Amino acid sequence: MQVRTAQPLSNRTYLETPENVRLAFRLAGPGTRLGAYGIDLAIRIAIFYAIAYVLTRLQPFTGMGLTTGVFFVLAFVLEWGYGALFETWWSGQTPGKRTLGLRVIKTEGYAIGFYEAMLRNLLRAADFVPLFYAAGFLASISTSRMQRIGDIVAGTMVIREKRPELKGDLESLTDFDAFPLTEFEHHYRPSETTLEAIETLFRRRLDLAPARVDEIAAVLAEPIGKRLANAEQQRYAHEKPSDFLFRVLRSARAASSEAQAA
Amino acid sequence: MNKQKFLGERKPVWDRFETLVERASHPRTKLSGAEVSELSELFRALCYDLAQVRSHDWGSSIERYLNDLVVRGHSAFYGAKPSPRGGVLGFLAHGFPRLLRQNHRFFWAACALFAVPMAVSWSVVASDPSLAHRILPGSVLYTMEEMYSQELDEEGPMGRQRQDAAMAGFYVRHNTSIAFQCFALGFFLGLGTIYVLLSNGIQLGTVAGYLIAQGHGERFLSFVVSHSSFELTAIVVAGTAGLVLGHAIVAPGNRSRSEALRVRGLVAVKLALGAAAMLFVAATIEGFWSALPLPPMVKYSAAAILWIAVIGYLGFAGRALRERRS
Repeated sequence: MQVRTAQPLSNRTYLETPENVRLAFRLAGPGTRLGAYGIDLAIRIAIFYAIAYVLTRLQPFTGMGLTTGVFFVLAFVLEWGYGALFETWWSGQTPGKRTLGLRVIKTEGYAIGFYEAMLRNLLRAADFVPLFYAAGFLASISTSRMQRIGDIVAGTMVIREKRPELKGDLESLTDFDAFPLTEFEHHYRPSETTLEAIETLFRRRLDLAPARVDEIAAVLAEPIGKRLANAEQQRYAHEKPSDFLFRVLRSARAASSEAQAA
Repeated sequence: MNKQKFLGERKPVWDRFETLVERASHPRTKLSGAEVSELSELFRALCYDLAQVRSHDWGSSIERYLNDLVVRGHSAFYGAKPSPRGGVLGFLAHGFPRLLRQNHRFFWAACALFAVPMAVSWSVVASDPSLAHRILPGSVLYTMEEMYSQELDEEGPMGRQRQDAAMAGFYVRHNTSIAFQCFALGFFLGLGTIYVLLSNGIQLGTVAGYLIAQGHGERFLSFVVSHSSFELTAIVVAGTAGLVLGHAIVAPGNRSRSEALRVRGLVAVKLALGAAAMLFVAATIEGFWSALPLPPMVKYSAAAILWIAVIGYLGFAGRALRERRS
């Protein structure tokens, strides 16, 4: 039984297992998939020339007819079989997908087999229509699981397997003064999930324009700021949202490491 | 229970689960019976852990970690791979012909879409060759005429030097690509498949009618009659696959369209792969046999055997097996 709750513009899809657990999958969008396609295309072209080179070298020994025939057959296997065979052997990955951390899986959440791999790759001919995957692109932006035609028919979806490592560390958090948590009313403390969100923003702050950091921070700073007892502090949270959040984060983290040590 | 205590208690269990799942999803290892039951017990425990993590506020990194582990467990448990029973040979020996017979209505429809336009264009062009120029460009007709106006043992475009392996390889790539396209374009309500079948039928009929009218009939027929057994039938089989696919969209029946596509899509891709195998046989015959300079009677006799073989194969292979099983 599948429960789809993906919202428009969401890159996630959810699946409820027989154990009554809801699993989350992060879908790969057309951009990343185009990247993987590019890598695979480059590899295919390289193999193509390698085959041509080797066969040309062999030609004096085997004769023109045999090498030409072998060349056509290998070119055919490369054109139609590259994706299907890799996705069968590597359980849903081609070299390009592996490089970018993508994997093809069944929409039921498990690994694909030979026929699914074959089906979704043969149907590239339908996705390609009328020019350069226009139909496939249209299909992938209009289905909730971002499936191209081949995926729809094979019942597969392409997911991002690993979250890219976040850059930047938390050590520079000490650049910010601790924010006295006692300023909050009723012993309020931001939840762990909220703190992680602040942490993510903190790690990314140098990649973004300062004004943008404040803009994003304001979304969180607003509800947290409301918990402050003091009106002046509330204004501070409103005016310097990122500064406020990072100071809260520092204090919260310091508090939890003390609790651990104790 | 706080997060640290929970992690300290459960982490060894998760690690054990990860090792087992790693081995379970590896294609060449097999878990022992005891390990399988251990894995299934751990899997249920992890599902419970994940639910617990979600009900507490322990942050999303631990939730993501557990989510990924449970996904892998889910995949290992429910992802039994549908591999062809009895391997590739078993599929070709009985699975494929049986599947084709189960879809015989689509086969006959594809056959009509291909054979009727071929017969019509053949007879029309044979009686009035000038019509051929309205169907095919002059250059194509000229090349065809050039090819079939010389004997097979002469040096030339059709001479022995360029035959055999090179041509077999060329036919594998060219014909199978057309067959796969014919199948895949069936997704568009079957219209793509119908177009490929009609246009190929018309073109082949035109070439045949034109060459016969020009007096190259025997050379042409004795050349194509052998491999056409597998080749033309395979094109029709690829068309069958495309129609099965299109039918799932046009008339999904009691299923949703996506559900129907997935069920019928599996059938269709098997038919397309069967067609590809037939085209490999056809290409081999075309490259190594059809071009041999032999008397037409020898060619016709061999062709008769090949046609009977194709009909016998598609019509009867795997029948006994089904009877025994039921």
